[in-house]
Amino acid sequence: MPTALTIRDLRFRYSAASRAALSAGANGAAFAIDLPALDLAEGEHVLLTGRSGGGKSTLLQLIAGLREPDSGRVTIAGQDIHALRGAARDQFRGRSIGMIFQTFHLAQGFSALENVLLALLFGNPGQSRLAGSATPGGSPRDGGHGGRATELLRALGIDRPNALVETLSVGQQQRVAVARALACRPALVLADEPTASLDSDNAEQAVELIRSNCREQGAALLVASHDPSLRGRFDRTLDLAGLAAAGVTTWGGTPS
Amino acid sequence: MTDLTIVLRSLRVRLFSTAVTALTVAVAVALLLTLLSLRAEGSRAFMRGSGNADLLVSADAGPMVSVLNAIFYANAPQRPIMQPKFVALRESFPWDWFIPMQQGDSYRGFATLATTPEFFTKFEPVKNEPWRLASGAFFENDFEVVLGATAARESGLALGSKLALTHGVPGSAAGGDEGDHGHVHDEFTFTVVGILEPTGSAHDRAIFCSLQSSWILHAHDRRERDGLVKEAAHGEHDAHGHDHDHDHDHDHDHAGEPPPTTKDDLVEDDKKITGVLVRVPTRPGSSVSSALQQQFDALRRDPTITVANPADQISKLLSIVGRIDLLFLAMAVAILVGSAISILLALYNSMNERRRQTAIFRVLGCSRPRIFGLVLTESALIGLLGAIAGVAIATLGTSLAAAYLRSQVGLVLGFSIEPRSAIIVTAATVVLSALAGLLPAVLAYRTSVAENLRPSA
Repeated sequence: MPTALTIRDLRFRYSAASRAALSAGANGAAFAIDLPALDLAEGEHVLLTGRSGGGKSTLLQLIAGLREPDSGRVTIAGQDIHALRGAARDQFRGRSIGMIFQTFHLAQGFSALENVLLALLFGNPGQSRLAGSATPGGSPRDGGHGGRATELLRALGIDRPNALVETLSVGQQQRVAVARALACRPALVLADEPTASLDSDNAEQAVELIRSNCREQGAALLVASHDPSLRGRFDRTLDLAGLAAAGVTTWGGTPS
Repeated sequence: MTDLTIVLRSLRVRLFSTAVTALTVAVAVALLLTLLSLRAEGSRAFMRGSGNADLLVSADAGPMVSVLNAIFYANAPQRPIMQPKFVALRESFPWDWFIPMQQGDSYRGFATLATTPEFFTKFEPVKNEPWRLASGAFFENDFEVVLGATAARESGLALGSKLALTHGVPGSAAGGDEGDHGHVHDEFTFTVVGILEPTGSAHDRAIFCSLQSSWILHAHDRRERDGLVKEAAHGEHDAHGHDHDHDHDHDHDHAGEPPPTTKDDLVEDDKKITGVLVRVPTRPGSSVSSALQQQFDALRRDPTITVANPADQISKLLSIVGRIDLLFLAMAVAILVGSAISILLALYNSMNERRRQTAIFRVLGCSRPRIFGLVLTESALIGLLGAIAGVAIATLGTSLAAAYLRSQVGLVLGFSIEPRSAIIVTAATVVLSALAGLLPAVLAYRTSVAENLRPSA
């Protein structure tokens, strides 16, 4: 059975410098990751729990190829992402992985529509960079992506696609973030604490929004959250600490 | 949505910073272009005046002095060429033309040039731009004057106006050949018969009359000294050359009376020449320059005269002046470099806001080189905007200045921004701006995505 995500023997330790930076953070503790195996089937929705600062964000960044592991393999839709270098990896990430953040990380100064178009511009191969002509109303202006972006935003109930994102309500911003993550029809969506800043009612709604849209687009979903109340809503729930006996240890432990 | 849209958006988000930075560039570009244009126009202005004359013969101390005196009216020439010498020189070679001039008199500070009608028919003050009359005609008789365009406008004289000339050029250290400068010959009344179109040369400030009229004025002085005519009873000899306006409060008292000295009183000694404009004939088959060189060398062997090639002397003059305006150009370039540094500063100051956006773009699939390119494009674009604004400011400024100078001072400057220098300066500015963007672009290139995507970021 083809998988959306396969992780084998993934090991990662913070460098001394970033450990020092982190120790000033919330818990004052630094972590290493040692993950023997994790698999997500195509379209499978998995919740990854673990306490705050337990290395969930770091794992997601490793999966997205934003950090280099010390060893091990991360394969997304058949492609070892760490085997790709430079622009190829960025391109692959843009096309195959959608990311949703607790604070959305929308591009300020751009409209809702433009945020989705940015994902399509950077993620889609074969799109000319500076060559887009300024013909109004036509597809060349948005690289032929206008239809896809508009459709996604409409499906997500964004009524003001041309408003700057910073003028939208938090709920609307979350929808834009979801639309942007799904723009390139990724195989895998990674959501990092998507509900951390919401109350429990809104958190449930937000998770439902993400799940239903991922289901519609056929994307596998890995949600990292410290909130155990989300458990029941996923196909599977994994605890980062429990993934391997000594998989995740506090620094100073004995990672093999 | 293209990369260019992203860059433009980034500029718009930081509109104030963009505008101020671009303005800094614009001012520098405008300054540089204006200086370049002034430099070109300054050289052009110096090239006007000697026109199609190949040589200038005089008795001045040196060739540069003779050109400055005869072509630019710097001072009244000190030493004359006497008539027998002039005739001998004229007959020494079949010149194309050999036009005598006498300078040294003035009217209210405007220098006069006494010459023959050939000055208007054969000599061109600017090559291929012969004299043109704005009104009236060239002089045909004695005591008729033709006014240069600036002289006409500033003196207020019109066709038919009467005037008396001052012997010597007031305010100039070197007076006429008799050494007493600034006395008014109001016993001789001149009439304006023609006004010239502007030529953009120093001739525009001159007043032209026949050689013989000038000689008669000087003959009169000689005869006064010799007691042949009475000193004009009313003539206020303004020996110090200061009170010119006053001199003319009561001119033309003698209108109608025959002047006490006429051309019949002229002796050979009165017929002095201060300069000769010479054209060497062009014969088919032989090059002008070799014939010119031959005659130039022949004349130079004569120790009693000075021969100058006006074009050479002006080049020599410009090469001296050129070093000074190189300094100005260097300053303008320094200001341009300063404006590039202000681009660097503006981009550097925005790096903190830019890091988060850079991280977001990277998550969405943007590569490091592309991030680098975005910043560099933004930097170059600020330079381009500034350069375009600068070209606009310089073009508008110089044409306004030219219009003002034309209407107020009568200075005809072709003073405009050359498209070629505008393009070169714009291109250089864009390159310089892109260079200024290098450091911010490297910083953006090296931005860590993971570090900049924390919830707090």
